[in-house]
Amino acid sequence: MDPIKAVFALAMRVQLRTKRTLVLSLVSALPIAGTLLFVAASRLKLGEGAQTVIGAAGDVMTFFYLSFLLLAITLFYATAIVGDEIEEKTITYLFVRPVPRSTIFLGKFLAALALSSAMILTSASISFSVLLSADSPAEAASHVWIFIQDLAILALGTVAYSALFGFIGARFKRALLIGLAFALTWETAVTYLPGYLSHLTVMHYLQSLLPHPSGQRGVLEFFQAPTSAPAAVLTLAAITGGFVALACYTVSRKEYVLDA
Amino acid sequence: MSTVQPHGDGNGSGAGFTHLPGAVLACRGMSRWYGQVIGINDVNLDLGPGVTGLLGPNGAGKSTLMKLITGQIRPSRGTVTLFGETVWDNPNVMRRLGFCPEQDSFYEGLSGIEFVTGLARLNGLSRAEAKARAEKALERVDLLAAAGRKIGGYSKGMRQRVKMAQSIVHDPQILILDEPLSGMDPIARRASIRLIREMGAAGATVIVSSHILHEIEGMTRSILLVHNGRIVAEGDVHEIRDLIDEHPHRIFMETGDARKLAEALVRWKDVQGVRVDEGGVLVETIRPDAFYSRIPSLVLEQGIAVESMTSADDNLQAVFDYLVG
Repeated sequence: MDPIKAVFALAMRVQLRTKRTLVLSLVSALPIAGTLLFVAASRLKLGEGAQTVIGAAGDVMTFFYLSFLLLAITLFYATAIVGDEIEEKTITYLFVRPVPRSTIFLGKFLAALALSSAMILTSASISFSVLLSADSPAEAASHVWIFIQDLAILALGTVAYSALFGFIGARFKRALLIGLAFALTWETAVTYLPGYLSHLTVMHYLQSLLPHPSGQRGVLEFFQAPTSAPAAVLTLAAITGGFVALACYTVSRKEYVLDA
Repeated sequence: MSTVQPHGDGNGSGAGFTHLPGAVLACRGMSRWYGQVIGINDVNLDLGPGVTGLLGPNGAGKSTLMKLITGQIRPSRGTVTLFGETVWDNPNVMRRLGFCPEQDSFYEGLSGIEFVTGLARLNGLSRAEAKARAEKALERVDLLAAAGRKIGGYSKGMRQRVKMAQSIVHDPQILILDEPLSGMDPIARRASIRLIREMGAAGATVIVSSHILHEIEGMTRSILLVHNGRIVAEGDVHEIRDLIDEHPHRIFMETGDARKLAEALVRWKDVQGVRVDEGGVLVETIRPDAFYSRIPSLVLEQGIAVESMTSADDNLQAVFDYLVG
């Protein structure tokens, strides 16, 4: 049997039974609740210059998904790829199997990615469906493509952040705290700083890909010029590849000394 | 003639185990430090098929030695090879290795069968083959009846047994067991000792660590004595036993029926003292081998549930003090 599949299957089975999965499933429902409130509030304001559905979609995507759920889910799953095994002292069982350590990381990374993607994309699909239901049928049809692009951006973000947080989990002891600090300061605050510094965040490239029409991207456009879509996609791919390679190298070389 | 031989010459020329033609495990000048602390110091060792006991008090360096042998950590100096190959991140070696670690750690949400099957699949087995092998391994450790239950709900002894099952599921050629009998009930302990002996007799190289001589004695006559990070002696277990028997052996037996157990034990001639403590009975005996062998019968005949037995290593420490001067 392909060892990466075996690691993936075991990791999925383990993760599906954790409290983390239960809690994050509930957390992923929060943006849906937020979207419902958003739509309800918009309906109440109808006729008074209320926000359009597509405008609301931009805000839902930016604040509920990119800035919150994407970071939260990938942070908790990806830092746990190695972190859980160290904390629970179970990594020994994996490292004495005839599977290269880098393959063990990759199999577990794919499992974390599958679970993160499932939660984020399912939640986003439901939220977008809620938004579309508030649209007129003619406009809803024209907005579907935008929502598909949004889902693709979230998928790219899930892969890139999982790679980044996966590396942090493989390299550092208090990975969750480090990742949390990184997400709250660098990825959140620096993204909104004017100038070129924001180009050093993953978030910048995701926001550059947002398909929402000009004037509908809230405060973002006042602060930063987006990177072109092809360059943004290539950069995200490079970030993903780079951090996955670094994580594989780290796991292959690093000794994880478990306390007795 | 004494069969216990000093080992610390540092050049691998100790009697009994060194330079075996069919050596599976070879350590050369192997040392390992944790910062300023020495875990293992200048170990030279060759081991071939059969069961070898690694005996030493807690903190002697047994677990560090096992982690080095299984490629969990790397030597600070020197080398360790299995089947002539370096161990670290080497699938060729790991394919033939089974390891039962000391730590009581599991994927708690998985059942016993899921745990063993999942790990067996990492050994390249198909789903069906892995499941069949897992069932066989769980049967060998007498855990098949509880295989469908979550590990989180297992007793300490059951956890030890499922840990052992994952280490033998792929029929390894070298099996490393770190304190495998710790916390097992008397019947499981006896069954596990029999299993280890069978593995050794079948041609596997088995290394078992313990701080309890009696446990090792039931499995093999070949022992290595580890103390302060060094292999201080190697040889026949009975020689060591004679030394140890001069010191009383203390065993704590965990039971819900401490008074009844104490009443039964106090009649035994080789029992020097019995004290009812919280959660069990603390026994002092001068004949641990005879004492241990009678426990399963006591459990079965009088219906006293003994949850686990643990032994302090103070008597072993005394022997080491004697050996190392």
